[in-house]
Amino acid sequence: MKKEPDVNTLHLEEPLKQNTPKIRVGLLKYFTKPSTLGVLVLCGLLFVVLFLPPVIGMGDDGSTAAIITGSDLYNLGELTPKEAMAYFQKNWGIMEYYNDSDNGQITSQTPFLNAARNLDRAYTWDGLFDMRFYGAVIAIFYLIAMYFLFETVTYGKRARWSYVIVGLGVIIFGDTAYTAWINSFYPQALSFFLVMILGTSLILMGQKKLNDYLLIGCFFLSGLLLCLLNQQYALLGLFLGILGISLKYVSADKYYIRICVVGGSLLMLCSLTAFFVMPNGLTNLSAYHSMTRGVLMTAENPEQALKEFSINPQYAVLTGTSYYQAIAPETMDSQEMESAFFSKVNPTGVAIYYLANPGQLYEMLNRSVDSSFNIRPAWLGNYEITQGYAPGAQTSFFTLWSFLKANYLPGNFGFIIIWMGVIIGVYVRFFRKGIIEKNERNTLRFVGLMTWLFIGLWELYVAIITSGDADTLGHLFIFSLTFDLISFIILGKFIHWIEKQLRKVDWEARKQAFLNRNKNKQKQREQRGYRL
Amino acid sequence: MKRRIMSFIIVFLIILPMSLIAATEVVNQEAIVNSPQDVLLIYDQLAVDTVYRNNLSEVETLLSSLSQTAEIVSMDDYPGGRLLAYQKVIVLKNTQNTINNPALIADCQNYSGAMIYIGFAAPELVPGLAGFPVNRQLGRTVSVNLNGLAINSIWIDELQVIDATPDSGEVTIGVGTASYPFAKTSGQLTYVPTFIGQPGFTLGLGELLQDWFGRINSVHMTLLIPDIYPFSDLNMVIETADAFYANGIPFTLGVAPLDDNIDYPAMARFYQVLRYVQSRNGTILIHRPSPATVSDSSTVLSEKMYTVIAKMVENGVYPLGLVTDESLFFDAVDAVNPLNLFSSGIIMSDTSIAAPGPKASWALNSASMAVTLETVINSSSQNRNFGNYPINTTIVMALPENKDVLTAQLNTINQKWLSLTNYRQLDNQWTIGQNTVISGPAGIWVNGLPVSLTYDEEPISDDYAYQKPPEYSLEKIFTAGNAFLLTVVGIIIVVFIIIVVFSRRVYLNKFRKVVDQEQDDQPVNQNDKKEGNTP
Repeated sequence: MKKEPDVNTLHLEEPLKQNTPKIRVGLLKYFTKPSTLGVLVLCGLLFVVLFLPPVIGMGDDGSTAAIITGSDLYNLGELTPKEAMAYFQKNWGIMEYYNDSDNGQITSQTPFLNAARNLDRAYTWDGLFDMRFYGAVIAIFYLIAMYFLFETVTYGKRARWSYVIVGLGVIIFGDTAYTAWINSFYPQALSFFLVMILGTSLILMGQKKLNDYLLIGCFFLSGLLLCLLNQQYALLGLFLGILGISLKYVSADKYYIRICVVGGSLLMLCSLTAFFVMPNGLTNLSAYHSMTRGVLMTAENPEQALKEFSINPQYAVLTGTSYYQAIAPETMDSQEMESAFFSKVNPTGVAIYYLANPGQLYEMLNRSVDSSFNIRPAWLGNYEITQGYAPGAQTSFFTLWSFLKANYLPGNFGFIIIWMGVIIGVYVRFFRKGIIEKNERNTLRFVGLMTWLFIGLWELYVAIITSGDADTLGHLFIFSLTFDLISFIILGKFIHWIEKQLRKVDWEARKQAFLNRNKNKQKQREQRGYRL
Repeated sequence: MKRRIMSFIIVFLIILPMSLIAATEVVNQEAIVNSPQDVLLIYDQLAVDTVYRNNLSEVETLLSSLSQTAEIVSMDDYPGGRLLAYQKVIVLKNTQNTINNPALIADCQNYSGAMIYIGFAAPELVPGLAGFPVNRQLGRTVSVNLNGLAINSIWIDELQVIDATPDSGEVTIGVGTASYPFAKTSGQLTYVPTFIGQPGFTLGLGELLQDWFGRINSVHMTLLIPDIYPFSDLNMVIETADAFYANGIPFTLGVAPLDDNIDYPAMARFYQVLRYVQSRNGTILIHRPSPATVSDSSTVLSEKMYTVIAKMVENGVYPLGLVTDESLFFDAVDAVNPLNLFSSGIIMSDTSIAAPGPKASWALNSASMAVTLETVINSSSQNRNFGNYPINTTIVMALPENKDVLTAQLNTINQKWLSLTNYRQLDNQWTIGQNTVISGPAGIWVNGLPVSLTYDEEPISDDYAYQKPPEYSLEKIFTAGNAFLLTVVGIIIVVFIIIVVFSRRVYLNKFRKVVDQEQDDQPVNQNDKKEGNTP
């Protein structure tokens, strides 16, 4: 009786012993895969930047007050509004009692905020909300998005070149100018990974890398969250919905087609509803900038432009000024200003004005592209006030890419047009091939990139008509992001191409030829010498 | 020997007081160094969320309006010995909380200078307060009676008055038919039992403080239309100016400094309107730039104001004073340059909660306190003439939105029989940058020369180049290069066209037979004949 259990345990132990090395090898293999390794490096980077002191984040300009109220959070008010912009605030208050306020706003950010708040409550019960919990929630999704992105460029291969590409990806998207947004309540934190997942899920579907159902789910979910983020994103849902419905040609699977049609229609419906239901979130601040830092600044005659909006031409003196610099806040909030100026400015009017004055639109596009390459608005600080940095100080830790981008990339729309030409030129053959072969899946890589391009350009235009070149709503961030995403994919493609070309070369033969060349020369010399 | 000792003692006795005198002089000098301000203001708490929340800023406004500098410290922050450096002290007690600073209590016991004590009595701090008979009443409508003027219908939750009959010529608080003194003086101590941040009480305290500081000057009242921007309703400004001019009412216009785009035609039009206002007995004053719009660095403020003021003078607009709230006076004098160079100004009441922490102020040579038009309407005069408030005041009246409002406001001013002073005729002067402006009863002098304020309309050209062409380096060389290239390319094109034209001929000539001149004359005819001949 005593021997039997021993035998049993031995039997049990043996297969375990055999299995563990296999699992270990599998895990090791998995973790040294370029995409996983890249994500792990990013994870470490985020941990250092966002969670260890000095904690890096973005200053608060007050535009998110309604959104965080919707999640029962509030600004502790320890800093003046000016300081709040210049310094990052880590601690926020959690409302302790039931609050019947109408100021709250429910957006797709709310579930993420609620999750972070509950996490904070589970961890500490001090009535304070540590921004880092929200940062952690966002960071998880960000890392998933980065995994998707790395998969698209490396095709899951373990070649040496894949590591180089992933390394570049870490430098570009792990840049603190991007990751600092994760520690903030701005919608940028969310759109950062949503836009990434949106495009990569399409491209991965084209590459047949992951399960179709998973990817189509990712596509629709991220599209839905993106168009519910705020009213300016809402109309994107229409475009994404049409795209979603046309995805049904990709697979012949019955359930897949149903998902596409239902998901696409739902997305369109939601975006239309959101467009009309959500508050337009356009404050006087952005209305002011859309005129002074937009229409008036580029107009040949600002007074004439003001007359077209039927505003007193004397307002021309505000040309080029910023909301915080020219006029006292009391005047800005006055009834007179409201009735004489703000009530006459609306995005539709500004959009129509730009369509009638394409020269000005081009000028604004130039300026906006330039300022979008900065990624971080100059007036928002990165450090906490307790760190003792100057107001508005921004970190320079791991900001190589944003530094290069801000200082050395030509920031004008002409450059963007050339860049677009190159992309379409390189990738359109996939699309053409797919169409000719009637294989819709092959068109998806091109469609993925074009989705990004469309989102980027749309946001650029929306930024111009809603807030001039000041971009108080962060649309330029999306443009900058899509620019980097597309450039990164193209760069990955390019590196792969070079690698392929280099692989074709027979290095040994070249080496021999080179050495022989020298020998030949020597022989020739000898011959000459002999002749002499 | 005895004589020697005696003479030594006498000499010693003669010298001794000298050294004592010298010693006291040193003490006095130290006291002067330590108390650069006119008065020390000690407050207990800001009393936010009570009716006393405005008290501190109202007292500060009053002191600034009376051109007094002050050092302000809360009871908790009070450093020992500070009190003894001053000859004048104001204690503002907004709450009934006990005082926890033993240094303050000790210093108060030793203090021998003049003191005004406002608010809830604390005999443990100032023992003299126990001597005042205080009558406490709840929920009263009172009136504050200044000399000849009464400000009526002030609701007070908790009224404390000194149970005494007021002397004639004193500020009194009227409750129903009874009247009590606003303040009572006993020796060096003056007690103001009730004070709330309300115009009536502020003016009452103003009269008290003016006497206390010994400032005897003629009191005046002016009228201010604040917050005029270039994009304000300028037609209404002109109409208001015309209406006031027709009614003989001198007024001032508070212009907000805007340093952006000061070359624009819109700005020129604005200056034109301001010149017109000056010709209509109006005086231009300049607002302090809103602290929210000026970043913390002081250079921004000074550069902004230098440009604005220089441009105004260049355009014939002469700002004579400053419109500001009292918080300006607590900034360092260097930081507010050139605003501190104005000799006169109007102190607006500041509704924001005063910032805590010890601080010291500076002051203008002459200033007046802003009161609203409602206060004037609520004030009743015993005489037909309205007379003056006890201190310099300025009635603040917003720019009328339309003609009806203008007529109503004009009627109010006329019905009250206000005697308004022309701000221009007060003594104002400043030197800012290159310009020195002096004004007085005889007119305005700019850089020593009298200026005429008659209005002459100057045409403003509308074809202003808003978009400045960007400046390029080496532009001349490039244009010359362009011209050169254009000529070269033009010549080449002409040559090319010539070659093309002639080359066709050359090309066609290849296929022509080289024949003699005679035969060449009618080759076609011959061919025709041949063709015709064929059957």
